[in-house]
Amino acid sequence: MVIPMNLILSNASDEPIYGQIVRQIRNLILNNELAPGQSLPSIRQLAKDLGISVITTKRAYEELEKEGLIDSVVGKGSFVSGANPEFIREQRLRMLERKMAEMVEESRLLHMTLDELIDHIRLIDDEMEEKG
Amino acid sequence: MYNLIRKDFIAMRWYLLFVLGYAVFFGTFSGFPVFSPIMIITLPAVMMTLFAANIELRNKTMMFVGTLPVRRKQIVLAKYISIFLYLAVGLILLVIVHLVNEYIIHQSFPITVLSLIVSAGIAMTYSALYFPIQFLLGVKSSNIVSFISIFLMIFLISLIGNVADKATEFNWPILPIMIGLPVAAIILMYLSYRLSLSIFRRKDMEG
Amino acid sequence: MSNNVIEIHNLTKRFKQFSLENVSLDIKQGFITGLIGANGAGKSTLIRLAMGMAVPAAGEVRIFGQSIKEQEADIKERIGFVADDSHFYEHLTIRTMKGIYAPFYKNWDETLFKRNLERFELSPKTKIKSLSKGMKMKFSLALALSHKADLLIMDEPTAGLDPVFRRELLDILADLMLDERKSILFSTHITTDLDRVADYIAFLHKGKLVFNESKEQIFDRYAMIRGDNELLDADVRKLFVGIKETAVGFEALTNNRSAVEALLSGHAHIERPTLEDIMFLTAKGAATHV
Repeated sequence: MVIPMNLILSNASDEPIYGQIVRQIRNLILNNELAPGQSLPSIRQLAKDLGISVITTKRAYEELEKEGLIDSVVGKGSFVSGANPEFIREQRLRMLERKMAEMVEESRLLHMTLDELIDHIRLIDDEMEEKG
Repeated sequence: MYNLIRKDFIAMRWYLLFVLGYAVFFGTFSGFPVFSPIMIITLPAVMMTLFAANIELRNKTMMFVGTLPVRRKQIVLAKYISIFLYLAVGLILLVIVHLVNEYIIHQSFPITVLSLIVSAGIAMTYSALYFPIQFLLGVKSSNIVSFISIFLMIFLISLIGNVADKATEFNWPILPIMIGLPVAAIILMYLSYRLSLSIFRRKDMEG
Repeated sequence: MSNNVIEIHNLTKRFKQFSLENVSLDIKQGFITGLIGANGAGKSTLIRLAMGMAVPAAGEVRIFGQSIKEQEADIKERIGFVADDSHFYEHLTIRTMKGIYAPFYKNWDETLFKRNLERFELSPKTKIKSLSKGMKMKFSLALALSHKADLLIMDEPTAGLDPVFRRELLDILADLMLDERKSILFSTHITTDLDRVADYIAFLHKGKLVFNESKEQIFDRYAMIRGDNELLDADVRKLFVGIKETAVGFEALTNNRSAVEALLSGHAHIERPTLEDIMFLTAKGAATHV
């Protein structure tokens, strides 16, 4: 019924634990590793499996709910929202934009021009084409 | 509350064997100075009270009892009711000693109703004096309390022994004593119980 | 939204060495609350007062909505109590001791108890006096878990346990918490146990309650700052609860993370503290700010 998810938490990281959970579940959903309508473990079961506080898991689920990625039904539990592909695509696009911003920032620190950056991207794309 | 009384008997069960041995020995050894039911009824009751107190002290049982679903009232009441059970044990021992005397050793071991009542009365009076002191002084002074109480016992026995002698000497009417003594003892125990309870209610439970 | 399983209201208790003054504290139902504090901070006293085993100078305690003074027997039916020294009869066996304990509880479950004994690797025939400290605690836990208690109160249960069983204990507690009607109060000075598993933390320092919040809230507010001594000026110091200064830099605790981030972000290392950091530096800070 509930397919086990693999979540890996790091205590050493400075990212708050609930944030790590949100991020990882979000990725699973956007990469379609969790299908729409699939049920998630209850907040208490998740807390037990991860060895953390139930308040943390609750906070994580509330965050995911706010982002529209999951739905919580009282008495039944939480499910991946049966959102439309448009919405998923939009989310993934947003994540891509974030990665792009990181790229641009980093390339500036390395004193690359925008054209150099784009050339570099083209190179990488060609390499991926060859690999098939 | 039954469970509270039961727990003391379970914890004391090896001591009961000792009390049995003691009773049979002194009950059949006619050379012993105070050869009377007092030895078989009163002293075992006192011994068992002190044993129970000592076991509780050694194991800090109060800290365990405090976590159980019992009210303080039940804890105090259980101690007082135990006295009557100890007396019942003494009565059984008396019967055993009497039988041993009559059929094995063939010597007489006189038992009168008066002596039974006096024996019980002494034990009850003793408990009425001992328990409030134990509750008041608490666990730390428990050893001193036990020590003092043995002297208390000896005093009570000789006092009442004297009175009993005087009674037979001057032919005092027995019936008032036979009724009056138990009634007085029970009233004393009840007052003592009330006192112990009010002392206990105001104290922290200590190991 | 959530009920309080324990309500402590203005509790005061005075001893020669220290006192609890006007301590008020609510323990929420359905969660694990850790009671932390240095030795002598008043944790055991607070728990004994809550159990009705000590008499307060003032204040009251309600458990399951009932007064501990008036309904202590009914309340204690539903409490499983585990202490680091449970005061059993040393000369009796586990089986006999259980025979004393079990009849007091209406909801005693013998099958469950046998299973718990097996799980903790205890034999009914063993005498209590030959049990190690850890095994005594396991026995105490086996008893406490075998009468369907709604509230588990544990007073320093892990002191004296090996790390392997400590982990297992936390697992057992987490298992219990799958039922949202159950609650656990867990007092300890070994805070690493609670760093992961506790939901709420109540911090007692020298007889006073410093805070009683969810771990999420605590770690939102508190932060450890490590940086160069040059950064320390009057404004910065004001934000610190406690500070440890050395020749090579400082280490400080703040309970106003956002303010510190505004001032020192990029210049000092700001990170999540452990509960031990919070306890240690709060104590240090209180000592200097007298």
